[in-house]
Formats: sequence, C-alpha cells, structure tokens
Amino acid sequence: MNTKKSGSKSSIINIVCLVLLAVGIFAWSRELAGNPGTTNLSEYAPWGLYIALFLFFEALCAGTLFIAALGSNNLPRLKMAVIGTVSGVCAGIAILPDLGSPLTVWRLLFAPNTSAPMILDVWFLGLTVVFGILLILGLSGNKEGLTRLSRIVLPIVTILLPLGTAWLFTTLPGKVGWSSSLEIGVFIAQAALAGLCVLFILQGIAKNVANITSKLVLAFLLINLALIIGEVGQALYSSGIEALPTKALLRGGFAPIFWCQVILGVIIPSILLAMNKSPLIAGVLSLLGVVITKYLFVVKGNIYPFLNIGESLVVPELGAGNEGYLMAPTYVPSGFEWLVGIGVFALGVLLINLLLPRVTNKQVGVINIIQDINQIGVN
Amino acid sequence: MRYGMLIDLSKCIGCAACVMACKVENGTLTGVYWCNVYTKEIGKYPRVKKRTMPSACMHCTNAPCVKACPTGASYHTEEGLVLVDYDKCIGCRVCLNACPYNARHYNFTDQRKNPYYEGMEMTPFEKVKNKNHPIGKAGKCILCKDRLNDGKKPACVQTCPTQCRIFGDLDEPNSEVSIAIRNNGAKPLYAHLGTKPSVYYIGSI
Ligand code: SF4
Ligand code: SF4
Repeated sequence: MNTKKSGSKSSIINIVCLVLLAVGIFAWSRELAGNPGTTNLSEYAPWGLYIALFLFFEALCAGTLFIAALGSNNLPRLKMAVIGTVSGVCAGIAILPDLGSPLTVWRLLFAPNTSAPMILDVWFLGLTVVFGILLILGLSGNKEGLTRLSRIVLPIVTILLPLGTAWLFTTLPGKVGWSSSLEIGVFIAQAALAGLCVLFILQGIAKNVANITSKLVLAFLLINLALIIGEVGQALYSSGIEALPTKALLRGGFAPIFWCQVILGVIIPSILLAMNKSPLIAGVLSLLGVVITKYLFVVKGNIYPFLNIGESLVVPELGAGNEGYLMAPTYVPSGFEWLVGIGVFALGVLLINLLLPRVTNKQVGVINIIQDINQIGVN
Repeated sequence: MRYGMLIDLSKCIGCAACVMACKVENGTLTGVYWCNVYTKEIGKYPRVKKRTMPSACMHCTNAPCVKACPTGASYHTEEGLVLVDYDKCIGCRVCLNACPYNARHYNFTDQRKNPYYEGMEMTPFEKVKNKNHPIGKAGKCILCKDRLNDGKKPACVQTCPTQCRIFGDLDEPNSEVSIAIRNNGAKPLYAHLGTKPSVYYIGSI
C-alpha cells in the first residue's frame, strides 16, 4: 500500500477519533449539567467506568514505560515510550469526567492534602508522564543525557505508580471488596502484563516476536491466573464479610463478566501462547483481560456497601445478597458514561496516530499497525 | 469541646421523625438523606423481630474521609465537627468510599431537573435550600452547625419523640451525654476500625 493511501487512511482515523471525542465531550457536558439519568453512579457505587479506565491506562502506562526505559533497541523503545506516555495522559483525562468539579482539579497539584494516598497517584502519574516525554525527546532527538536520566527515573516511578493506587484502594475502610493486600500484587502484575502485551503486539506487527517476550507474557498471564485462584480460594475458605465480594463475582450479576475475563482474558491467550499460535490474538486478548480485571476490581468494592451492619439490613432500593448481607444493585455504566469512555480511548488513538509518525520520522501511525496486522495474518 | 451524641436503640421506635427533621432543616436534594433510620429483620418466621438503627455522620475524631480527601475539603472544626468546604471539593468521591458508615453523600443531579415533586417546579423551600447543595460536591450531616451557633440542639435530637438521642460535649466529663455513655457502657459502631466516632450507641445493632 503506498504512502498516499495510508496517509488518507490515517486522516480518516483522525477524523473518526475527533468525532468520537466530540461525542464524548458532549456526553460529559450532559453529566456535568446534573441531568438525571446521565450517570449510573450512585452513593452505593461512587466509582465505576471512569476509574476502571484510569486503572487500565495507568497499568498500560506503567508497564509500557518501564520496558521502554530499560530496553535496548531504540525504535521499539520509542514506540513503547509514545504509547506509554499517551496512556499516562489518557489516565489523567479519564479521571476528569469522574470529578464533579473538574475546574478545581488544580487543587490536586497546588493545594493538596499530602496525607491522602490519592496525592501519591497525582505525583507519580505526573512524574511518569514528564519522564515519558523526556524519554521520547531523548530517543527521537538522540539526546543521550535525557535518555539516561529517564532510564534511571522511569523504572522507579513506574513501579511506584501502581503501588500508590493500590495503597489508595486497600486503605479505604469503607470498602471491604478492596481491602485485601493481595491487590497490591495484582496491581503490579497487571501493569507488567499490560506493558509486555504492548511490546508483544508491536513485535508481532514488526514480524519479529522475540521468544523471550512470548514467554514473559505467558509467565505473567499465569501469575495473574494464580492471583485470581488465590483470591477465589481465600474467599471460598473464609466465612467473613471480606470474602463476600469475591463470592459475589463468582455467582452474582457480575459473574458472566468475571468468567469472560478468566476464559477470554487469561486461559485462551495462555493456551495460544503455550502452543505458539496466533500471537496477535493472544496479545490483544490478554490486554482485554486487563481492562475487564480493572472494571471488576472497581465494581467489587461497591457490592457490599454496609459492611457488617449490612447483615439482615433492609433498605428498600437495595437487595439482600450472599449470606443475608445487603448488596448494592449491579452497576452498569450508562450510555453517556460509555460515550465518555469511548471518547477517552479515541483521544488515545488520535494522540498515538499523530505522535508516532512525527517522533519516529516514518509512517508508523495506527494505520500502519493495522496494515502490518493484515500482512502478518493470524498464524 | 467535642460535640457528640448518644443514641439509645432500645428507645428508638423507627418513626423516622429525625429523618424528616433533617430534611426540613437542611433541604437536601431529592433522594439524599443525611440522616437515616435503617431497619433490620432478625430471626426466622414466626420468631421474627424488627430492629431500627438511626444513622448519620459519626463525626469521627480519626475520620478516614478527612484523611483520604485529596484537597483538604473535608476538615475538622474546633468543636470536632467534620465538614466539607465546597470551594475546595473537586467531587472525586473518595470520601464516599472511605466512610465505613455510608454517611457521605453526593450531589449528582441538578435539583431544578429533579425536584421533590416530579414534573413540577421546585418549591420555594427547595429554592432557598438548594444553594447549600451545589452539583458535583460531596455532602454530609453538618450536625446542624447553624442551630448549634444559635445555642440550639441539632434538629434530629430536638425532634426525637422518645428522646433516644442525647447530645452534648464529650470532652466535658459531667455533661449529660458523657455521663450516659459511661453509665450505659455505650459503644461506637465499628470501634475496631479506629475511626473514633463521636456518636455512641446503647443496645444491640
Ligand atoms: S462517619 Fe463517615 S463521613 Fe462522618 S466523619 Fe466518619 S468517616 Fe467521615
Ligand atoms: S469529594 Fe470533595 S470532600 Fe470528598 S474527598 Fe473528594 S474533594 Fe474531598
């Protein structure tokens, strides 16, 4: 396919992304105006899709930039750096529609309550994006100093980033579904998996999948599976209220999504990788598994809003669940929330499509990735 | 000075007068109740019992909502009240997740589009109170701070027909509330979480 054709396809992608972004902004404006029914978030489900998206982009950013910082081959590192940095930006953007007063968001930077774990997120994400940009500048402009500096700082902040978020969630006493310290391991493992998946997909597109990458993706898929089994086992053998959210995932309204995550996002890609088949499908499914895991993690915290006093409690709009503890209704994002979420993804694709060709000085935008996928086929 | 409350569950008849008193005093948005009376159904038919449990913000001394608030919008007053500074609140709702008592609320909707009487305009009462509940901000029981400044008790305490709520200064060992807490061995809810609530309960929950 010639450069002209791919250029026009790239423009089409940009236009589609801009349209989706505009639709997302419109949906967000409806939410901000306080129109009833625009969000399915509630006092019993205060966090939902936007936080799940934040967690996904954060994992993608941390994992991708960690690898980009430590890698040795400049072109894949540069691509990883662009994707990682854009993911970091998208993580920040995904949070904005979750805020009731986004115009006061500057307070997080300039008037923070430093004892709040959320501030760690702000600092670590900010640092990660800044050093991601420095890495891009260093690699694309052959500036050794910048590259070396990022190589030192990024591995540290990209580990601290998911850790900070895990501390935020696990230290909230009001949400029993987030309290397990196992989640700290899950956050790190998911970030590593997400970064490896991006590397794996990029190598697949370049028809140059390194054996070690494939093995590492498989290893981290198995680590994630072990963590899921660990969590489920802990829940099944425990009788406390702490076990109920995981039990509810196994059998409640979220069960189809949970099993979809396990089968589609972990087991099938593990089998494909073990059999050396369809690496691209395996990579994409693994990444999809990370998205679903993040969504399930967020909703798990909302399932039992009343903690221990929820036993036998009656609140007319809520229903009793496992072992007589009051459960919150299943949270499903509203149409407006989906539109905003899609808008954030569109922004990410748009930024990557605009940035990649510029920093790599060649046609490596999203359209070339798609072309390469077509050429490679699925084997 | 630390304001606090004792709730005697054995006296509560579940009439929810406190819920309505709070609503009338504070004019919270449609569907938002800073003060609640929960009910529990205990036992199996035919031996069933119904229990009631009034609940609102516990004005915790070691408040997780204050600790988790990233902008310092949630804060303690000198009298031990936990309040929200709307100018600083960014609407992140981490405080809703941090509170183990479900005492945090959030203004999701514009009251003009979701008035008390569906399909009608806001009542003059709603219009007056609405400015205290801006969209996109977290809200909670303010222990009727304006009434306290006027030397009155909170509306829920004033209204309770069985006087199951005793209000006063927990730092004053001889206040009615301190004595009642001591004499009855009253306990706060979820003491094990270390939140040090300023609301105590007598009776089983
Ligand atoms: S009861 Fe909840 S809202 Fe009130 S001070 Fe304690 S943690 Fe904060
Ligand atoms: S919603 Fe407002 S009060 Fe609550 S934690 Fe966020 S900034 Fe603080």
